[in-house]
Amino acid sequence: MGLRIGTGMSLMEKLEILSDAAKYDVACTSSGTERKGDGKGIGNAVKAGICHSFASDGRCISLLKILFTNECIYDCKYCANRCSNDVPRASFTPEEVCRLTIEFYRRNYIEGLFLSSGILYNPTYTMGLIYQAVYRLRHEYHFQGYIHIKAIPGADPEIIRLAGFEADRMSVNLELPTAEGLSRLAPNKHRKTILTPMRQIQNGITVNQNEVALYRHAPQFVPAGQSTQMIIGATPESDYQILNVAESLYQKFALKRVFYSAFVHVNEDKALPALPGGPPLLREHRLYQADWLLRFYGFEARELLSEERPDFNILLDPKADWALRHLEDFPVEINRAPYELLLRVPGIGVKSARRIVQARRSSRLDFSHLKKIGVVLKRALYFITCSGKLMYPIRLEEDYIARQLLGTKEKLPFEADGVTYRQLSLFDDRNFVMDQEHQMIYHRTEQPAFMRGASSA
Amino acid sequence: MEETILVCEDSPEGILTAVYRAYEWKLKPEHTRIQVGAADLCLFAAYREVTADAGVAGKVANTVKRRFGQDAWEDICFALAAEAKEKGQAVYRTIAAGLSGRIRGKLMGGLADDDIRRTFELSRHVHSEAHRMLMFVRFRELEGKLLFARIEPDANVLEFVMPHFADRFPLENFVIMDVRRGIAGIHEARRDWFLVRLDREERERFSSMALRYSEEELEMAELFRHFCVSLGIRERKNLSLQQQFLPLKYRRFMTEFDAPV
Repeated sequence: MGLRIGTGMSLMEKLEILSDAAKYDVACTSSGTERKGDGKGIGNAVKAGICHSFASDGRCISLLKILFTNECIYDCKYCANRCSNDVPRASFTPEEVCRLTIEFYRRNYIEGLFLSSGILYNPTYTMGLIYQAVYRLRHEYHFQGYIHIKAIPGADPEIIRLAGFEADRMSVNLELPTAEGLSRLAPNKHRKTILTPMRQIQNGITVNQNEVALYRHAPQFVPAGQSTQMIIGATPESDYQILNVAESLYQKFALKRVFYSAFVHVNEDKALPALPGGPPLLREHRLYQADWLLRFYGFEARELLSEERPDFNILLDPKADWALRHLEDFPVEINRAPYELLLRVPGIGVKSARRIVQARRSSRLDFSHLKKIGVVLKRALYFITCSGKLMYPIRLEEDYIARQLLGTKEKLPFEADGVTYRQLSLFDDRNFVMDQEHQMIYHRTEQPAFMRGASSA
Repeated sequence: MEETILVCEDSPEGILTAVYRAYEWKLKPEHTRIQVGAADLCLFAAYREVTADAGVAGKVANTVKRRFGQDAWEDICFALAAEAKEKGQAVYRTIAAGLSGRIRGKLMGGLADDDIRRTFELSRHVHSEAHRMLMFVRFRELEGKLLFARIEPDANVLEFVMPHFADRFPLENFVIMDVRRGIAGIHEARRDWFLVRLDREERERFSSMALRYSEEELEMAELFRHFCVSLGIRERKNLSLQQQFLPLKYRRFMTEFDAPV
């Protein structure tokens, strides 16, 4: 890797190569920091984050998401920039990164910088390059916008610490859910070296929070917290395993976010699965739904899935699926049920649950109120009563409700553009296979009750 | 009983003044309506014109803040900026409901009340459009490093948008022009921002100014366009999802949707 190809490139060529190389990184959020401008530089940060544009795949563009360089000494099988690939290579200079960030930011194209990098020479050197760029941005250009950088596993802890004081968010990519998958597809990376900086950042944040509590103007260390991402569908882990990993990351490493990235085939390699149906988008979607249930709805991974039922239902979202298996907890009385229980009703989200709790203080709520408040009644009506009455006389029966819920079509973010639900579902569920007659058969150890009902009908 | 209709101008001051007069004249909220701007006339109703008065509007504002808190006041401000004509009535009845004392807890939490819910919906709608402006405003650098942006929002959100950018770019000279309403927010480096109403001549001057890009502008716009294209993952292409987040009506002044030069 001694040769540095492409030093004579124009800024346009570099940006094309290095943003193209960074696009598989999912995290593009700019949330978590609230910071007013100090009036002497440029920029501020908004707690909720701001998206600025949306790419042709519908994903948000919030940050200038680039690699510092796409030269890399590693050979991860799933990565377009692995050293054995023959792709054009380029590197920015810190000056170029700063100029692009500032000029894009001034025009309100972006909310800040997301700087990642391939590994040039060694992890510490690479981390040094990232640090140099963000240091200049903060101290020479007085940039007070959002900065998200990667902590490179294996880099000197001191330089990660220094970089953490310039960044809002840091992330270390877990890459694959299990250590076994990692050693198979990313031979140069090790679970331990990935978790070490994650722990370091976590401890740094805790220590820093105490400092800031004591000295209000102490420099802030990674104030927007850390995140990570896992590739879904490149290795054979079940949803249950993945969700458990996510849960322990939230609990033990105090992560702000875990991102799931449906595996996209960029390299031909015998170690990688063939995905004739395209990236497993539905699986990714279900994981995000479950992730939300973990973070905002008070669910635990073992409530949603188990060793016996290791994968999500492809036809029903995780919450409806859970509710169907726990009909004994329903119906819930809207005018009395505690907030935590309201959250567990399909069709009621965090916002509508809050509104219900507020509104019922002044008046008794009925179904027409709920509709106006924003409850999705066509999903919720099987699980709730208002003043002791169901909306319609219905049977509280798993098969019946399941069929009704399947009838109200779930809105999925990727159904448009001519991709049908069936095409996707085949490859999203590891247990769905085609038999010789091209009929779908369901290979589960335990068929859900409503499927049994449907096939006999 | 005959209805009384208070007719006021379409501005926060106008509507709040009408609210004040309704109480001053001891009108009953259930028989009173506030109408924004001239509209269709009702036969069996008494019309009364209300002239905006910043002083009494301020009194109403203070009462709202004191009785119902800053959050409720902000919701009412957003609602008053909405395009919908029934905003005056919704806000009036919301304030009346609050003063009557029948809403327990937060005023804007009383969503079972139709008027409060309407105010809440208007507020949420305007708030989300203001947020969209923070997302989608695109500045063009003109000669002399002046940053210039044009917007055409449905609601009158410019005054909610300006503080954000003034805080963000304290050292920049920038202008955001609402082409639908003919108003502009102007920020001079290290100064406070202000709004101006543009007359026809000024509008034309602004519009012609918008085309004199600085040298660097074309390069940066081109870089950003390429950046947006290369960031999309081909295997996940989903234009309808893109359009759901970024409706076509906002794209007119957005740099990344310009035809390539």
